[in-house]
Amino acid sequence: MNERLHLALLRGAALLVRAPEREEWLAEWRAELWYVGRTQRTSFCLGAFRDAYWLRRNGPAPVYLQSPWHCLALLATLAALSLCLAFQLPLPRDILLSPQLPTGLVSITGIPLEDYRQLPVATSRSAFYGPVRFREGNLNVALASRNLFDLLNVSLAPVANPLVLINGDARLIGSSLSVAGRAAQVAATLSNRAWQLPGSANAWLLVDDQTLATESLGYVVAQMNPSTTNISVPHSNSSVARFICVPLAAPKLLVAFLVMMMAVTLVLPAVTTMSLGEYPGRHARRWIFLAAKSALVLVIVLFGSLDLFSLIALHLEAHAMIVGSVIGLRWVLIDQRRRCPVCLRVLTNPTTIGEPSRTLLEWYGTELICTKGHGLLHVPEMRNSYSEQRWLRLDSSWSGLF
Amino acid sequence: MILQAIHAGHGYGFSVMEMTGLPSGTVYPAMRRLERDELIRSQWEKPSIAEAELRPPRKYYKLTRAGKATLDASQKRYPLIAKLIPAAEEVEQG
Repeated sequence: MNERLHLALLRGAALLVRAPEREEWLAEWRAELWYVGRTQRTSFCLGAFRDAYWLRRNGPAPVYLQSPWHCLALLATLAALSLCLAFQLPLPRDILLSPQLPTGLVSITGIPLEDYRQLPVATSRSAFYGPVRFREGNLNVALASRNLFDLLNVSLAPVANPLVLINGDARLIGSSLSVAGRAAQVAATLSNRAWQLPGSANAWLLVDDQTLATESLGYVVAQMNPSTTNISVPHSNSSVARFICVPLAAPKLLVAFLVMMMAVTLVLPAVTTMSLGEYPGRHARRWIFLAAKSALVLVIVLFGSLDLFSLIALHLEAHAMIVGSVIGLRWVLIDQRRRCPVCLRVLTNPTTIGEPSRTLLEWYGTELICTKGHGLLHVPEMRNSYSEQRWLRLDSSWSGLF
Repeated sequence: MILQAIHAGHGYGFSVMEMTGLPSGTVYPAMRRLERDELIRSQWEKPSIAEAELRPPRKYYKLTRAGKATLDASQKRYPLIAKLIPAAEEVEQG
């Protein structure tokens, strides 16, 4: 049993090794495992994962990432795929296409219908909706003012007794239903995400304010100054009822993205060095490539997170976006550091130069070369403020060697 | 240390691990780097030898000429290395 587990661990580690070297490494690990003592076998197998990680980190970049154009084409394809998938899957599509709430809307919760009628706000700019009033099969129906969805910028089909379904099939629009003995026609269907107000029902029957009737407390949506924090309604017995107004901020994808980027900017320097090294001369293409790569990676992370978490039905998109952006941008910086600044191809043939014992007196690190003969990159083994990776340009007199 | 261990006759990965005390996950990458820098070279044992002894074939490592020169330079600088990892014959005699 243990033998199988160890073999499975080695096979798992081998999967992390690039295909051409996989068999060789697996054979060596398996051969070595035979000699390892029983008590050390598990730690030996776990060490194989460190070997594989080292190989991935220090081995040559995959062929499809070596050329800058192939790299950008691959990233663009992934970005396009994640974007297309986002518009196909229901949850990401709702987030992307859900109607934005108009500015200046406030919500009041737990207000009696009588007090709503006394509010010092024009009835055309306010709407009342109550808790669930009827149950019709699977439908929990609540009553709402006729202009509720106008205030929310949701367009309705022109029908006599409009009913709005949450999570309903769009093909139902125009069909008739009987709700609590009265006929109603489906005027619109909304997704769960599109309903962004307090209170929940899966069908809203829209009626005139005069016919609204409920003894329960309800909700009000009103268009007023968003800085209004509370509103008073005088009662006939000279008492005053005060209600708290909560502004309904329109959730903007751009704002969420900017907040995410701020978090990523704070975390990124902790997981990788931000310096791209010393490169004499101007290399505008290098910066354009970096910007394009970063933009594509962010698109992949943004829409990929939405797609993935909608498939596994977990609301962890925001967390995944932040973690994914940090990992993605870390890769962008690492990839950028190992490219030739002239042709942007991945540098090859790493060679260790010097010895660790000479760190203080001499240069010690790895030298990489551009196969097109543009230059050499010297990467110090120990990065510090005075020892950055440096690019050594080779002039045309060296071209005969390449 | 790894060069000294290989030179001392500990010619395969696990033996180097045992002798140097370095963990798995450190020794093999280090040996790959030494191989990449042409300080050591590796060779799989003939399967017939391993089959005769009812064990899997080993991958043996040997020092190259450049590896021997590097080891000599290291030993001059750090004579303790040779004492820490003596050659296999010396251990048997001792």
